[in-house]
Amino acid sequence: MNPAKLNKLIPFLREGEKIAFEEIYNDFFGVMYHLSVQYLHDPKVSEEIVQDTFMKLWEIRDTLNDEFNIRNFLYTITKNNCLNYLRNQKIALKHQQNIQYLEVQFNFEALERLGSYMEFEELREKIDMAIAALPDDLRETFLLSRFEELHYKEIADKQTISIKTVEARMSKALRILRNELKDYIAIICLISNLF
Amino acid sequence: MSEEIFSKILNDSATEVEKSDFYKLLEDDNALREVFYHYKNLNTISKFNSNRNIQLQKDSFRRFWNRVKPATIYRMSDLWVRYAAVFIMALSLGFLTRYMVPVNNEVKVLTQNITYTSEKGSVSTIHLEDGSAIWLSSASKIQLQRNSKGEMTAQLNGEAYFDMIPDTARKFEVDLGYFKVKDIGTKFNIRSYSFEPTVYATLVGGKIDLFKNGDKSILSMIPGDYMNYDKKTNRMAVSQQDPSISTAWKDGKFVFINKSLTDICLELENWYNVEIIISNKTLASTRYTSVIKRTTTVKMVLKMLALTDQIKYKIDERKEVRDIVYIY
Repeated sequence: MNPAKLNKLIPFLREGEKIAFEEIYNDFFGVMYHLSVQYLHDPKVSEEIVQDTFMKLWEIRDTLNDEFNIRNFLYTITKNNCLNYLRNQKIALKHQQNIQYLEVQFNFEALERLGSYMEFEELREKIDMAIAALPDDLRETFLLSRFEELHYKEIADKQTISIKTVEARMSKALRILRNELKDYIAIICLISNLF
Repeated sequence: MSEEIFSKILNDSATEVEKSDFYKLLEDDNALREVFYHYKNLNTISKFNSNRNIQLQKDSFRRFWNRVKPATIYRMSDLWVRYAAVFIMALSLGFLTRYMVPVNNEVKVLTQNITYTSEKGSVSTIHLEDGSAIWLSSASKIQLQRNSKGEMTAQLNGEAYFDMIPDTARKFEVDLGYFKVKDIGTKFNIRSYSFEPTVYATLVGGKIDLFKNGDKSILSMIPGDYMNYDKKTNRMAVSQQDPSISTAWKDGKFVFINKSLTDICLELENWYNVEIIISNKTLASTRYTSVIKRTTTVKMVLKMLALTDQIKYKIDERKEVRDIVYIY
């Protein structure tokens, strides 16, 4: 949902209109849930965290002004809720000094470094645009690898092409992305390292 | 360290041993840790929109709404509506004055927006402080706005009956998106559901003018006029019809005059909160004329229809979601 449309919903949020809350819920649930699951690795807790975020929005609905940045708010609250959860988990696991503790610790620190909503949106759009601009065959292979996490062998079977072709397509796709996203060196590392 | 492990860690698919090795490695290597944080975050960002769980999203919203659902006088639970549809006068005068009139009881000009919703199977009445009243039909929503000059605008999605006290000083307009209705002191009915291809206006008394943009009237209606407007072709047609047919809903009746079963079922769906599926095409276009009390249960309505013709029906009762009625 674009910011202009979102802001049109604000008067309805103030009134506590179900339709307005539902629209925003549907629009943001996926992103907020994904964010939580990535750092918490717990679907149930993640769903609760997202729900609590919307509870906050409900609680402050009376005070919303027409310029209120809903996206920023939801993102920040979700992130903070996740950080709080991880912090509590850390305390609970502290004396065990086990791997789980380390995992929570590292996820916590990674999440702390996650940028503002603006930075995050900007980056997301850049990546999506670069992928969308890939030639069709390269993009299909690339997405199978990236989103469905299939091995080259599985991709080859699925697309009825040889493993060599998969490899060729992947390296070509990466070359293009590397060029397109050269201002974002870290992404290139990421993409290159993972595939 | 292999790229595969890194990938597995980020996708949460590493084994316990792999995890253990990896995190121990991170613990001792500051530089590697920074790289991990970076990759972890970029991985998160780049995978948004990758898997959407619509069912979870819906369930989650339902739970959320159950937690916050405001306790209002005029909302009825679905269960009630289903088989014992009850006609209620939802908003009492006392309830309204709290919203329409400032607490100190001085009648002031209101400038804020007020939105009212009528749920399926209920009719609400809104009383304005000048004595005018608005009836809001099932599954309808009206948004009332008043500016500092006392001019009032209503945005309507659904059906409403307006009984406006004559007042030349007050301007009252209903904005339907397709056109506007301007009134000075009248009784009229407007039906504009988003699921229907046609908008209907009926004038019971007084005079209303219809406007597109600007101040030029495109149609003046006189009592007894029945206007229908086709949203697709953008055409308006006026005929004469007994206004009590269009306004029967407000007195708790369904009136169907020569209406197809499809149209009738749309109306029943909207009132009883059931889904009706007609599998027989000839039956769907068969026309009926009937007057039914809205307090009649949907089962009874189906029985009545079954009496008049070769209609057979089956009700599939479902928990949590609305029931389905099959007509065949």
